[in-house]
Parts: sequence; C-alpha cells; structure tokens
Amino acid sequence: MAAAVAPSAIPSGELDEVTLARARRGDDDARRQLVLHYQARVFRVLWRMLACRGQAAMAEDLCQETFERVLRSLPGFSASGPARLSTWILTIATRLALKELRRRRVRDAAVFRLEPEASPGPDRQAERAALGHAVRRAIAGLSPDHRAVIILREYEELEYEAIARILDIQVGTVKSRLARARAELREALDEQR
Amino acid sequence: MSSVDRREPDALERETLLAYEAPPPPADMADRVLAALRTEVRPRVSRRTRWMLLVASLAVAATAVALLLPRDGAGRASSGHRAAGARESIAIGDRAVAVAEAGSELSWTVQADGAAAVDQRRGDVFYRVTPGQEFVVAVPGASIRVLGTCFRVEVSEMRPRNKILAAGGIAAALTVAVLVTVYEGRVRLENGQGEAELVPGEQGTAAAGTPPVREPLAAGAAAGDRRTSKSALEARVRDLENKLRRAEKMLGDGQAPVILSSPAEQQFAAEQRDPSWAPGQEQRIQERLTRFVGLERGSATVECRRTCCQIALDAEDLTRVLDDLQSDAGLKHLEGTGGGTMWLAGGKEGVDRVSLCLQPDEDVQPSATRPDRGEEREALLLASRPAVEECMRGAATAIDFEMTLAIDPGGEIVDVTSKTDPVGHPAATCLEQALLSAARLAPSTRPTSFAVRLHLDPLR
Repeated sequence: MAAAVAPSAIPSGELDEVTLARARRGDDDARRQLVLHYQARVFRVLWRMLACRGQAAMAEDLCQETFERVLRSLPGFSASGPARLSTWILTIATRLALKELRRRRVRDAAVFRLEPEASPGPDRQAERAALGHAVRRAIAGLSPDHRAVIILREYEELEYEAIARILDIQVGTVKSRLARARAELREALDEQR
Repeated sequence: MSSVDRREPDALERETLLAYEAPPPPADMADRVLAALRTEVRPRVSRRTRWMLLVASLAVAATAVALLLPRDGAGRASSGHRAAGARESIAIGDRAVAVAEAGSELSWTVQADGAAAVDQRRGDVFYRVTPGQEFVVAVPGASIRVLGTCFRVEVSEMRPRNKILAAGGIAAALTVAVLVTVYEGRVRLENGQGEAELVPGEQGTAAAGTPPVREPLAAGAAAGDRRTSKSALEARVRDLENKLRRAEKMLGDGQAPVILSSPAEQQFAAEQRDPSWAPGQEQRIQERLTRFVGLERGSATVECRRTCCQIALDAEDLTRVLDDLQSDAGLKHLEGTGGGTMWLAGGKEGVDRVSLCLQPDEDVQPSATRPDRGEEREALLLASRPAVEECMRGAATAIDFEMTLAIDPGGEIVDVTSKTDPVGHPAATCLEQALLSAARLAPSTRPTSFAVRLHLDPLR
C-alpha cells in the first residue's frame, strides 16, 4: 500500500521528474503522488465548469476519469514536449467537462438550473455566500466555451498560449472569447446586484 | 504555473470571482483512481463496428509478423515454448504466470515494453496477469485480449461442447472449441465474427466461423471456488455503483430517474398485447439493438404490447450502450421517444428495463421523413474506411476516437464534438476529416444526433 501523502504537503509546481518517471513505469506510489499533486486543481476547474445541479457527483466522476486517462496515457506523455504535465492534465479535464456540458445542452436545456440559494444574512459570511451564488449563476449562464476561458484565465491564471493549447484554438480566439465572456459575466453580475 | 497579468483593463475583480469557492476533492480520490485502473486497463469503448474489428485484426496480424522478426534483445524481451507433461507453472515475462495442466501446449513472446503474445494450441491453462501492456492469448478460432487479470482458457480438440453447438449452429466440421472462464478483471474474446467482453462470473466460448458467445459461469464450475464468489460479489457491487452513478447523472441533467414507474412503463403495464403489432416491433427493435446499439444478439429481451415496448437488459450492458441507445442511431429516431417521455430503468438485480411508447401508427422502421441515422452511420463508416486506415498507417499508438454529430432538419452537420484518448493523438484531426468528408445525411423532420466511436490500432 502506498504511503499516504497529505495534499497540503504537496508543492504547487510541477511533479518532480523522478516521481514522474516512476509513475510512467507504473509505480503505484508515484501514481498516487501524481494524483495528489494535481487533484485539487483539476477538481477546482471541474467544479467551476460544472456550475449546475449535480455538480458534486459529476465533478468527482470526471475528476476520477481525468486521472484514469492521465495514468493510462502517461507512458506516451513526453516531458520534453511543448506541453507541461499540468497543462496536459488540465487539457483532459477541461475537454471532459466541455463534452459533458455540450452533451447536456443538447439533451436538456434545463440542466443549467441552479440549486436554491441560501438567503443572505446580515453578516459578512452570508454576504460572501450570496456573492458566490451570484458568480456561480453568472458563470452557469455562459456558454461552455466562454466558461472554459474564464475559468482557465481568471481562476487558474493560465497564459493565453496554455489556454489555446488546452482548448485547441488560436491565441487570438482565446483573447476574443475572453473579452466577450468577461463582458457577459460583468453584465450578468450587474443585473443580479 | 503561469500568472495572469492583473493589469488587463477588462479583468474581473478577483475578490468577486473568488467568492465562488470550490471545495477540495474527496480525500479518497487517488484510491478510487488506482482501484479503477487495477480492474480496467483499457478505456471503455461502448461500440465497435465490425469493420473496425477487421482493422484491429490487421493490426494484430501486423504485430504477429513483427514478433517473428529478430529482436535486438533490449529490455525484458523474451520468448519460449512449453508442452506440459504435468501441471506446470510458467512465467510469461515478469508480469504473468500461466499454470498449464498436463497436455497443454503454449508458446509466447514478450516484447521489451511488456506487451505479450501467447499462442495456446491446446490444453487447459490458467493465467494471472498484472495489468500493463497488451496481453493477447491466441487460440484456434479466436483471440483473448486481457484487460486484467485472472482467467482460464481451455482448448478442446475434436470435442466440441454441446452449448457451443447449440449457440452457434456449428457444423460437424468443427475441430476446435475454446472455453474461457474469467475469475478477476476482464478479458475480451474476439474473432472475425464478433467479440464478447467477459467479466468475473462469466464464461465465453468461441470457435472458428462463429461469433464468441458469453454466458454465466455454470453453477458447478463456480462451486468451491472462493475467487469466483468474491468476484461475483464485486460484480454485484459494480452493478449497484453503475446504477447509482446513472441516477446521479440523471439528477444532474435535470431528469428524474424513475424507478419502476416511468410514464412509459405505466402505460406498458396497462396495455394488452396486440398480436398484429407487437411481434413485428419486437423483431425490428432487436435488430436495431444488435446492429446499431452494439448489444450482442439475445442479450436483451424485448416485449411489445399495443403501443409500448419494454427492453430488459443487463445493467452493465445498459451503462455501456446508454448513449447509443438514446441517440438517433439507436431508438431515439422514433417520434414517440423523442419528446422526453422515454424510459427509464428499474428492475431486479443486475437487470434494467427501458420502456418506450410509440405514437399511433408509428413504426420502429424508419420512413421517408425519418431517415435511419443508424444506416447512415454504417454507410459513413464504410465510405470512410480507406481514409481512416490511411490516418492510422504508421501511427505509433492506438487511439480511441469518438465524434458526435449534431444534424439539423436539413441534414446539415451543425456541430461536431470530438474526443480522443490519448488526448492530442496525431491521427485525431485526420480521422475527423475522414469521417466528416464521408458523411451523407438525409433531411429529417427534426434535429438529430449520433456518435461514432472507433478503437483503432496502428497499421504498419
């Protein structure tokens, strides 16, 4: 059984090369460390992408699927290639989320209904919770493509080039989508205030 | 990690955005991932076309030729041959053990990367395989692709089993029959006529000229085998997990999972069988399930009454084929099922039911105003085959490719979503173009969609 590694003990950069090489050889301890290293970020992206009902179960599902795919395909990943490991992992996670969102959009437009929000109370915590709900609702109103660029740029702070690689689009397209998404988000938030 | 230039003039206020917090992942995520990988090595692909099997067979043949070539001896490459005079344990590379009963004969080749090819000519051999690279056991009339981990292969010469004769209608010319029993993990039994994926508690039989047949492990065979009973319990847990997962997804989609009482199911229960209508629909639904949804013949039971039909099928099968079943290549081309009154499932252990009701005068058979997207998908695959093969020629690795087409009533493709595993496979763009350029889709009375899923091995 692998030694437990507390998520908080994981550094924020890329996985070290030795552990990556061990993971590529199928070493279970190293594969576990890889998941622990990147899982918080992957789950965060998926959670925010799936800003809708059932998001918890679906985010967990897709998070697991992301890492299953990562570990299966790891022997084919080139550490010296153009994509960093984190970008590659986020590519898989983002595309799974986009696929899920598009599938839902076709099947049932009501998918974007949100869970009932808590009534904001007088205290600061309640105000922040209400603001969180407002942001969530605004993000849920974006198209999947716009949602992806907002989350990767505004939350994950990725460079344009990395976002372009993840979404398989041109850098110029990233910028134009981001501008439109920001405008839509700002407008939606203003309407809710 | 990179950092955004916060001086961007239109950047949103970070404090506002961060109010939408994301929780941490479940504490056992890594355990879940590793456990899933231990039980399944290859990605699940819900539907594979017959001609894609031919492509795969060509690839296997190419691999076999490659195995005959001299190797440089690097890595852990090895090969061997054994004719067992008594029960014997044989190491196949460093990740598999074969226990060969007396009278068995096998030869094997293990490549430097761990991929192994075993040729079992006769006898009874039990295999335990650690998940990793491809592990294929070739037997007369079929091959067994190991998805992990523990199974038995019996090759019977001139002694065909009655059940094989019954299931396949095999002529007296049959010389060899194969029986595969799975104890843990999964294996895929395949030959030129078809394939059957076997899970713990199941047996598969195959012979040249007839598709592999899957069936539950005989009670006598299971008795006294603790591994089997443990595996059966694990299979039951997986079944329940699949049901829960589907229910959660449906809740997430805003669809209520209806257990035992969907409107279609209630209507079905209230109807009497109309002998002038039901048999024809049952037959046509069965044909679609086999031809377009990827279910093995006989694996689903279809019962129709007056306007409604009910399909009962294995819960794991339903999980595997649900998307195709609900697509327009499956059964959703029916007007009666397209309006949201369709399905859902419930049923006794291990079996799920799908109910659908048709409009008055509606028939499962497609019509002039309702083209058969299933047939169109087949035509697309056939027409694109040369181009698809070209895409895979010289490719370094296999690919799982899925492309979903959204089609407007005019027959135009208005949206394409592609997914590949591994992500970024060099052949992906080529495959998408090959399929799209071969698509010929007729107008319909409403928007439709379907997916094309391919598993392709490299072609030399």
